[in-house]
Amino acid sequence: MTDIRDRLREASNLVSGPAQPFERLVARRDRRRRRERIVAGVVAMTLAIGVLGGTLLVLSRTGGTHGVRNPGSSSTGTHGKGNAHGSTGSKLAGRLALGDGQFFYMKSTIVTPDGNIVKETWWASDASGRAAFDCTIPNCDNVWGPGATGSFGPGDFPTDSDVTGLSTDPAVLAGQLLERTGPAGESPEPGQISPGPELTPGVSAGSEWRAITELLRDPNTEPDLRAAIYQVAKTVPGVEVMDATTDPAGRAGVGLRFPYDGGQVVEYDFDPATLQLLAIRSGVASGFDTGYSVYELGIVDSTDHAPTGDQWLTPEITGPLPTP
Amino acid sequence: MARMDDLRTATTVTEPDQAPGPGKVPVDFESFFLAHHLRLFRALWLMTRNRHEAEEVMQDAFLRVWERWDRVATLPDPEGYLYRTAMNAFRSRARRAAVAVRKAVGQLPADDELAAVESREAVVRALAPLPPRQRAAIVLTDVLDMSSEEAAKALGIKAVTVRVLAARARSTLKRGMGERDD
Repeated sequence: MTDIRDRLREASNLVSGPAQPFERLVARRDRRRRRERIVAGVVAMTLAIGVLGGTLLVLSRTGGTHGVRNPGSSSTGTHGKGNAHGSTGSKLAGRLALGDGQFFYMKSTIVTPDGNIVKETWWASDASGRAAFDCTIPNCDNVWGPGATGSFGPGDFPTDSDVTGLSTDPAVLAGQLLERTGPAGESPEPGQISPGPELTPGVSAGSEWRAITELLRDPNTEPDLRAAIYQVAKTVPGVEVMDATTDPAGRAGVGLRFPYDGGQVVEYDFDPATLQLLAIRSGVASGFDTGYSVYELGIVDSTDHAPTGDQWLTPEITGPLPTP
Repeated sequence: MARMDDLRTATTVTEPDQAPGPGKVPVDFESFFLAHHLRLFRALWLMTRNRHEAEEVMQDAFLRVWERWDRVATLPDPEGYLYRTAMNAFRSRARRAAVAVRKAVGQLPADDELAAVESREAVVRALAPLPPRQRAAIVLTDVLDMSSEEAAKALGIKAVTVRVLAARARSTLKRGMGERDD
């Protein structure tokens, strides 16, 4: 039998190249740029109208003497990088930005009736860092699979997607996420079971919601981008904003719920001050009884330890977690 | 248990190296494209087994490189960057799912050329049942002649994993071709 290597090479040489490949690449780039411009324009206009309408509504109800009650629900379309709150925006943006030599710490604990899966990551903006994994589920390797562990040099941290081009300005980010989620985007989302309304050609509210929530689980989605993602997520059609929630660890939060067909509900809880993810839980409308995951986030100067004190962006979980 | 999409494992997609190469003379993007597109396309064709899908992945990879060309051109190994980007695209879970949907509803045209090549080369038929990672590993090492370290970098996994994946792929290919040759 001829050597596999030779036969593979011969087979690949039988394939003709694509016709006019560079011209098609140019056309694809132009299409993408046009789409980006259109989407960004539409989203910016929608947000501007929303901001104006919301402001007028608040002023008409309060006589213009009070601010927006819920920090998470304040519109940030006109804010700068990472702003989540009115007058404290720049202070918060500074707190959420990852500096040189700093690591974004994320600890996720997935709690199931059979045991817990704990993932810790320390991510630096140069894509270096460390990951740790612990699993107490019986036969975890088969049930869950091996988690990423070890230290990684610049560029080597294992991640699911490239988020480096995403803006921390919610108005810009909204357009980018729509483009990214579309069929020709960097991260096209598959057809959804509960699609909801179509936002742009090929992008339903369900696929947009899914793309957004996937980013929240990624260890390379830095805190300032996370705050902006929250602001965009709550504007997805169909998403219910909950002003006051308590996550499974007993932490106070604000919640976002997306209603899936068949009564399935998935709720994402966020810290009301930093807009960082606290918990994800799912179940049916009558109660969350099917397991959950909780998150502890912070910014540290070393991969050797978890955050302490002011380094936490979410309250640290100190007590035992309830078994679902 | 919670929904599967809430409880996913991390995959190992790695961003290409960012460090610029000192004193590297940039070439223009079109020349870079023309020099590398056919080789990449053929490799992707073997991995995806569909020329339309292969071209999409190739174009996505080149587009991303083009958008960052001022930086990529100065890297020590722009070709390595290209292959890492292409492998990221190839292995993207979301992209694979989207392609599956398009195939299911008939939006992705069938590859007529594949049948012709398959009839001449049993090895291409034997590639079909391989998992995507094994297919990628054997194409990178055996067709593109990458070392396991280079392939590992492109795939964002360890070199030893590449060797294991490629060995498994070879073994399956031999078995598959043997069965068909009999």
